[in-house]
Amino acid sequence: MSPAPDGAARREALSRALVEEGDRLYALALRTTRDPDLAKDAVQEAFASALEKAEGFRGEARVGTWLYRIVFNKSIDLLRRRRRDEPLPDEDPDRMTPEDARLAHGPSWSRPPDAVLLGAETRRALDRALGHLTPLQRAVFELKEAEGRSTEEVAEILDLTPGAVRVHLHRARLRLRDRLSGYFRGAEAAPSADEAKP
Amino acid sequence: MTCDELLRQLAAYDDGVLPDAVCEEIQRHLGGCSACQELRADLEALARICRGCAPPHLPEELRQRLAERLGEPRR
Repeated sequence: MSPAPDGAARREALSRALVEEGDRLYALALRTTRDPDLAKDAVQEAFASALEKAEGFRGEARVGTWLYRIVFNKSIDLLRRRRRDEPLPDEDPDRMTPEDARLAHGPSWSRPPDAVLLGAETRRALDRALGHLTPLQRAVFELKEAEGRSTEEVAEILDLTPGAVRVHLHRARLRLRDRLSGYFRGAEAAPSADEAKP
Repeated sequence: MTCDELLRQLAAYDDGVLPDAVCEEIQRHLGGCSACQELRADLEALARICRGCAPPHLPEELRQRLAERLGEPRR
């Protein structure tokens, strides 16, 4: 492990991370919290925390991963603070559940045409469906599916094992497929005018 | 291999971390099971929807506030 950088080097590394990764850090916070105000607070608190602590920061090459983990943890802390009387769901990543198997055997989308699949209304339906996942499932989905990160990298950011990342990702995908199933059955029956255009 | 066994291993299969023999079993099952083919097609379509979503931008006022606090990086 290389020594922790001094304050000036850390400040510069964080400034570069803000320029190069600010949008993606915000995307993780927004996906996790589903609240723009909480997401902004999470990013702001993460940078403040990163400025104060050298612990965990092992050089510029690692600042991105380290910052993502802080942003995720801040997002969860803020959600917990807001939902004091409503604990976040406990998730067991060690095994597939009967619910996972049930969802896997649910109705298929029947291959909707691209005009429907890639339309704006489908993106809105996906956003609504994401509201039915847990914050952790949303974070895994964002990092893996939207950003295309490796399982190992997602595991490092979220402090999980690679196996747990795969289980959470699979659950997220199955639940989204299930939620969007009804949407596609309706959308196929009556695509909106703008989505039917090539 | 059953559908549920395939389900448990699908993400690891996509990551390429399973032994060759298990990969062959998965491919054999996928080749003959229309339900698992449909599931796989849906999950691939889900990934396409996700990749088609424009990523959000860090709000400019927050970016500026943080940049001022950190100081601009040297170019």
